[in-house]
Amino acid sequence: MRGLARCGVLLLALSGVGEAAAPQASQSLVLVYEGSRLSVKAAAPVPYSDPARMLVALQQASLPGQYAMVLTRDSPRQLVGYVLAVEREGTLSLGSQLHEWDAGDRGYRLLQGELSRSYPPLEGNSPWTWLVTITVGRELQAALVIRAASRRWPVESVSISVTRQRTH
Amino acid sequence: MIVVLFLVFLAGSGCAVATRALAPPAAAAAAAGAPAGVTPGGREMEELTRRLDALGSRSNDLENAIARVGARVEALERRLDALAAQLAHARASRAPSAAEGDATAAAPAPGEGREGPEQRAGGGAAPGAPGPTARDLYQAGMAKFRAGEAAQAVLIFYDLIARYPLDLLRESAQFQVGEIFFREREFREALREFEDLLAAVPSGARTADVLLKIGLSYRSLKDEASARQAWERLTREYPASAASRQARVLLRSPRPR
Repeated sequence: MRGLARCGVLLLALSGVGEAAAPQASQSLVLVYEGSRLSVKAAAPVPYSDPARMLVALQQASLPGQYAMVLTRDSPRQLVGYVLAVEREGTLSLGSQLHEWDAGDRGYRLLQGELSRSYPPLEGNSPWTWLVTITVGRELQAALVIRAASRRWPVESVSISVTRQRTH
Repeated sequence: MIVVLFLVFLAGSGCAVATRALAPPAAAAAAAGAPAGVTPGGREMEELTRRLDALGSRSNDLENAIARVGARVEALERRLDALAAQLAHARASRAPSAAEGDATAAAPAPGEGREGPEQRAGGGAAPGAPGPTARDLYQAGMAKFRAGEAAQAVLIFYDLIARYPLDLLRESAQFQVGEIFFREREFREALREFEDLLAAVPSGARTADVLLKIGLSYRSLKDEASARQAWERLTREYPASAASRQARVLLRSPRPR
């Protein structure tokens, strides 16, 4: 029990702390593990349909408007933005941009952009659905269910939900 | 002099139009853009008319500011009530058995020394958030924004949102992110941010502005029905706000082709 408490795993709905409101669109989530936080957009863009093009873009400049997930770490102070691409046959590619905090400039500096992993769609799901894992900390992986907004290709947007967090 | 004082009084009451009607012919002519200086007091009257117009404009600005403050006070009161109710509920339900619950539940992790989500400036940190405060991050983000480094500003604001999801500055940070995307004509991204903010902070200090921007984003994306829906909600829920006035104008304006 103490171990679980130390993990400090917290799924925070970014809500208005329980205020009564009309039904809203689903919200972004923040998954917290000690000094790391994974922020997941409930509705995220899919700006690319070609991983090669995505890779080129990832290596050139920060693309915060295209991030589906953002992971921040305290030590070292880093920010990782994740970008999505879906190919014609349904393969989801996860690209990432790693930024390091520059104390002198008081801003994040892009260190590298790369293709992290590719995922085939789950069988029998239409529109396409993918199960994606993101390492939040040494003892925690977030499992994300990513669903295409429609059956059409190119896919323009997806919805993302966090299904479970695994501790090792 | 009496006439001057009377005119100033009228301007202070927001009656610039009435003032023009009551002004001497030379002043009215000056206000209408006609050549001045016909009478010996013409220049003075022209100057007075100009100042009256300025006062009228300032009066409108002040009215807008008062409306904004009023809406903000109302939103803060609602939030305070919600927080008080939630705190009371959390205290009442904090039984010993709850401490053994699932650490992944949507509540602060045990052992974090927190009674519940806090929403205040400089606070509301996610557990284990050392380092920069929300204010530090907000100021750093705004500095980047003012320096024209929009992407850098967005990254820092994202950092703030993840670290301090319940802080009051989170609302302003995410609003700025939406604004940046909107200014860069990335309307889909702007819309995502504004809608996400609305879902996260449904009754915040900037909710009226968020609804206005949602409508503007939809209109830019040629979704007039959704735009009007957002503005109608704005005028219904925040009728006294400055954003609501803009929304009413937009609702009357013709659809862009």
